[in-house]
Amino acid sequence: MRQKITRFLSLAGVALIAACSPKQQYLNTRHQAVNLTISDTIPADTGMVRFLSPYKQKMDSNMNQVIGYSDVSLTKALPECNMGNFAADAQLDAARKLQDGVEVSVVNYGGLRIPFIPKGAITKGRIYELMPFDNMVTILEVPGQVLLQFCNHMAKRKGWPVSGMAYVIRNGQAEQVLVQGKPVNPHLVYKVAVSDYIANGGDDCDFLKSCKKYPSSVFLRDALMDKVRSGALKGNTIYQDLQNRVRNAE
Amino acid sequence: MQNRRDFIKKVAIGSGLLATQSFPFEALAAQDISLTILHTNDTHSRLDPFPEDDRNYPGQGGIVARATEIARIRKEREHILLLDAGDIFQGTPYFNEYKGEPEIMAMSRMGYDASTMGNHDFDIGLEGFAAQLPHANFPFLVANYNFKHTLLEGKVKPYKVFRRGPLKIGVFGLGIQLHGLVARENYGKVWYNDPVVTAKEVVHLLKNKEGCDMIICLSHLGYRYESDKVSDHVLAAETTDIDLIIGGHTHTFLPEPVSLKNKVGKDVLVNQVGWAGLRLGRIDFVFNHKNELKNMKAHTVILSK
Repeated sequence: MRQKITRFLSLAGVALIAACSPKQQYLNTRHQAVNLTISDTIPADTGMVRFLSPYKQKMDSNMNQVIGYSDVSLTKALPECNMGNFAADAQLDAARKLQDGVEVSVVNYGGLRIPFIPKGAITKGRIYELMPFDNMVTILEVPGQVLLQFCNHMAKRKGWPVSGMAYVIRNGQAEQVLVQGKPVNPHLVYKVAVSDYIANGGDDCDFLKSCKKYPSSVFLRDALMDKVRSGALKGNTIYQDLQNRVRNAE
Repeated sequence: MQNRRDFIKKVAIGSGLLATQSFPFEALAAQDISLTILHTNDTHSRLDPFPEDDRNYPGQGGIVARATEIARIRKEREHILLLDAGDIFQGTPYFNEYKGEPEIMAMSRMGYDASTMGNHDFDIGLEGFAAQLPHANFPFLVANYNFKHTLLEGKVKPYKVFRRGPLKIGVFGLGIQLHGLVARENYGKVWYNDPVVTAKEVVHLLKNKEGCDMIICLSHLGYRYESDKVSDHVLAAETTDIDLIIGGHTHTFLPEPVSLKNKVGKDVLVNQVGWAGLRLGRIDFVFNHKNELKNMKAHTVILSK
C-alpha cells in the first residue's frame, strides 16, 4: 500500500508542476445533449413579455390588416409549387405594369421565406414573412443563350419558380425550355422579370450581371400584396393545381 | 487477496485523508466540472411563436418561452455559455419595422455570451448592423472576415476566451462567402478569407497561446453540401482541436449533435437547431483535470495487476 501511495504522490507532484504552465488543463470526458423544442407550452417569461409588448402592439396594428382571402393553401416545394407560381406570376404582373413585352419571370426559391400559407384570410404580416426582403422588381434583357444558362442554374438548384416559362430537369440540367410555349431562340433577347438581388448576381447569378438592366422602385413584396388584393387566390383559382412549369424528367 | 471493491474503497479513503492533510488536493480532487452550452442559430427576427394555424410549427418558437427555458437552466447549472450562430436579422415584420433592435436587445436580456454574423446580418448594410451594436452586451465574433477600413473595424472580433469556473473556453466565429450571396453594397469592403485556413490559425492560437480547455466554433458556413463547398463537415474533417461546431445557415434540424472525426481522427461534435428559435440546443459537458485523468489511469493499471 505504501508503495502505491508513494507512486500516487509523485504523480500528483508532476500534476502540480504542469498546472503552472499555460497549457490546456481540463479535458472533456463525456457529454449529453438534447435539442429542446421551444413552444408556447412553456410559460412566458414576464419580463420578456413586458419588453416585447410595445414593439409588438405597434407592429401588430399594422401587420394584422387583412389584405385578402385565399381558397387554397400555398406550399413551398421542389421542383414546382403553387407558392412559387403565385410569386412568379405576381412579379410578372408588376413588371408588365412597368414595361411592355416582359415574357418571363423568375423567383429564386430561397427568397421565399415561409414554407406554408394556410387558406383563409391573408394578412399584410404574412406577406412580409413570405418576402421579408426589400427586393425590387427588376427587368433584364436576357439573350436566349444566357436564358438557357439561367435555366441550367435553376435546374442545378432543383427548380426555381417561373412564370411565362417551363422547363424539365434531367440530371441537374434544364431541357425542353419553353418561353410562352415556344422553344427558346438563342439569338433572341428576352425581357425577364427578377428581383434586384438576382439581377445583381445574388444566389450565384453572376452571369446575369452583364444583361441590360431596368431597375424599379417597386417592392416585390408589394407586387405580392397587389396580387392577393386582386383576388387571384379566390374561387376556382389556377393555384389549386400545379401547372407543369417545372418538372423532373422521369 | 483482496477483492476489487475493497481495494477501491481503501484508495478512496487514502486519498480523502491526504486531501484533508493540506496536501495539494486540487490535483487529487476527483470532482467533475460541468459546462452547459446553450445555442440557437438563424433565429431570423422570429420574436413571436409561429401562429397556431401554422402547419409545421404551430405555437413553436418565441423569445418569451426561450427566455423562460434559459432562465430555468441557469438555475440548474453553474457554468453556462449561451451562443448563437448568426442570421439574427430578417424574416418577420419586426425587422422591417425596427431594423433589428428588439432582436439584439432580447438577446442581451437573455444573457447571450457571443454570436457570429450570418449573411442576413448584412441585409441593411454595415451601417444598419453597426447601429444595433450598442444594444448588444455580448460580442460578435467572426475570424475570417477582414473588416479593415470598414465601419465594423475593431467592433467585430475574431474570437473570445471565456472563463467558466476553472475552465478556459475559446470561442471563434466563421462566416460564409459573401460574394454571390449578399448584395455588394451591403457588405462593401468586407474581405472574406478561407474559413479552413483561418480556423487553423485561430485554433492554434487558442490552444497553444491561450491554453484553452475547449474550443468552440460558431459557424455560419452551413451543415453540409452536395458539392465540395466548405461546410461544417469540411471544417471538421480538415482541422484539429475544435471540440464543438455550432452551425447555422442551412436551417438544419439535427435531432442531436453529430459526432464527426477531425483530421487526426478525434471527435468533433456538430450541432445545429433548425431556425426561427424553434429549438434551443443544449449540451452538458463534463470536464476533469488532465492530471486527475492520468491518476485515474494509474489506478487502473494498479488494479489490473
